[in-house]
Amino acid sequence: MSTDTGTGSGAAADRPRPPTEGLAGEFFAWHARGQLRLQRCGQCRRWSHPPVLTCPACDSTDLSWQPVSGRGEVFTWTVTHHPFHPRLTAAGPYACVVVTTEEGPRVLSTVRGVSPEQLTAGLPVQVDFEPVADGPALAVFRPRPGAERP
Amino acid sequence: MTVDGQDVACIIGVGETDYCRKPGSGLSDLGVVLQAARRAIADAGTDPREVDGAIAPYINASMEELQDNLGMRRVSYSGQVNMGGASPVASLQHASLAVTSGAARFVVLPVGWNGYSGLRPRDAASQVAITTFRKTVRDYYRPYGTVAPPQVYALMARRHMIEFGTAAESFGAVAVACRKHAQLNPRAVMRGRPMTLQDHLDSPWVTEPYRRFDCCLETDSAAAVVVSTLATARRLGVSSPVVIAAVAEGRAEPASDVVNREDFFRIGLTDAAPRAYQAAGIGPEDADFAQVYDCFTFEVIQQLEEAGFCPRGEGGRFVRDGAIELGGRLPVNTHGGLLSQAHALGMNHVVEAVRQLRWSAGAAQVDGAQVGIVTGWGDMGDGSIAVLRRP
Repeated sequence: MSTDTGTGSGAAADRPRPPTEGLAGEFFAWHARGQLRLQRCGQCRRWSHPPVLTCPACDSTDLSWQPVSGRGEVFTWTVTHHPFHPRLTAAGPYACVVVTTEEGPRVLSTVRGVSPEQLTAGLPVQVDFEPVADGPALAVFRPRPGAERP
Repeated sequence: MTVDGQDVACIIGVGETDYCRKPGSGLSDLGVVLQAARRAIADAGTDPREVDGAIAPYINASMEELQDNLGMRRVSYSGQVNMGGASPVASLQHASLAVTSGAARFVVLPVGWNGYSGLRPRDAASQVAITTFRKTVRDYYRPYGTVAPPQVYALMARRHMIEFGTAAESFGAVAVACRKHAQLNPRAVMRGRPMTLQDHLDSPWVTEPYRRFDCCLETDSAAAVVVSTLATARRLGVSSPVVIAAVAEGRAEPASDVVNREDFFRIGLTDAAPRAYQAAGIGPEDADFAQVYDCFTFEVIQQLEEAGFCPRGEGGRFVRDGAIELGGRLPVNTHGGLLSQAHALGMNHVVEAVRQLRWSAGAAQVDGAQVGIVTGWGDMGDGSIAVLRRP
């Protein structure tokens, strides 16, 4: 097995495409610009992911996409063997990873540069961006060099 | 017939299709739903023309189709509950309110699908995204390859292993208990195919940490119940009505995404269960059995914890050593569950609870069962719970 998680850049074109419309489209559009942004309330500063139209904490509609550091750590993950999406499993089992960002919200993503067997809870990761054929881009994560492993 | 001067809701009829995989039901998705509905209505000793209420299933049959095919003539109450697999149990609350308020006299609640021979639920997001679950998967999970429920829920199972040391052997204990119970049930698809813990551990990965035998069956199956009041049941001479002592539903926060919960293991059941116990005037320790929605093995462990059968983090130990098998401290899924009987969307759990409380569960009967609990789990951990008891 390679040190990748099975959906390496070679398979990127075959992956399901990220959405381009609605709030989800806005989320992924930032990835194409090399940024990870999450929605935050301008009034009470609460982060919301997935994004909302009204802040559930303070009722404000002053919501905008704010940059985050892109640093986080692995919270949980799965390794998919069954061909739910045959093009994804064609290159072998692949990992889907939940990352807790430094700012608090969690995102479901995947990791590069580490095999599924090497994943551990608390693994420090840093965001990276991958182009997608005919789509915006995907925020993926890589182990953070120099960061202390748990 | 009243409790504290008030009439109470009860289940007066149950019905099921034959549960099967190959060669399939030979019916359409609507056809299996109708067959289960007719059988439940017949079991209640009434006629579809007398049934004046229905909770349409969340898939495969509309109120209009039920009315036109069953010959229902005087529908005065109808509804639909969209909580995925938590819908059937949650529907019992709507039906109870309808019959005790007088909005309807008889309410039929059918669900079913050709889950094996028809559209197999593989890639939830490739279907039209009509539910929040499907929308969230489509928008935020699918771009990374998380497309199906076993992947979504495996994220929760993995985190439980990380935080509490829950072992694969505990997942296996759930699978083995269900399989053991299926051996006693002529309606179980897995009857005649016993399974050991080693068989479970040797089964291939589906989506780690779930193996094949952590996953529910795909079957052609439908099940239904009829709800009325105890007073009506007595007047009609229904032989063994089962009282709906309480029903509750709940959703975690946020409701539309499983990964962003501050308390990661909080699910709909966490809030619903205490409400149900309070309304029924019982605690989990009073249950003679529990039929727990078992889409995957870990979900049983998590629901046992969140429904208060054991503290959070203890579920892995709770299910070991035969404790959830017949004869153990809390028999769970005495019919074999979704894991080993059939995936009738959890209504088969309600049907089995009724059989247990009628004392007609055959070789799987829990001696002298008085009170039983049924749970539902759906979509983003939506939860429902019913407390059923003998009158």
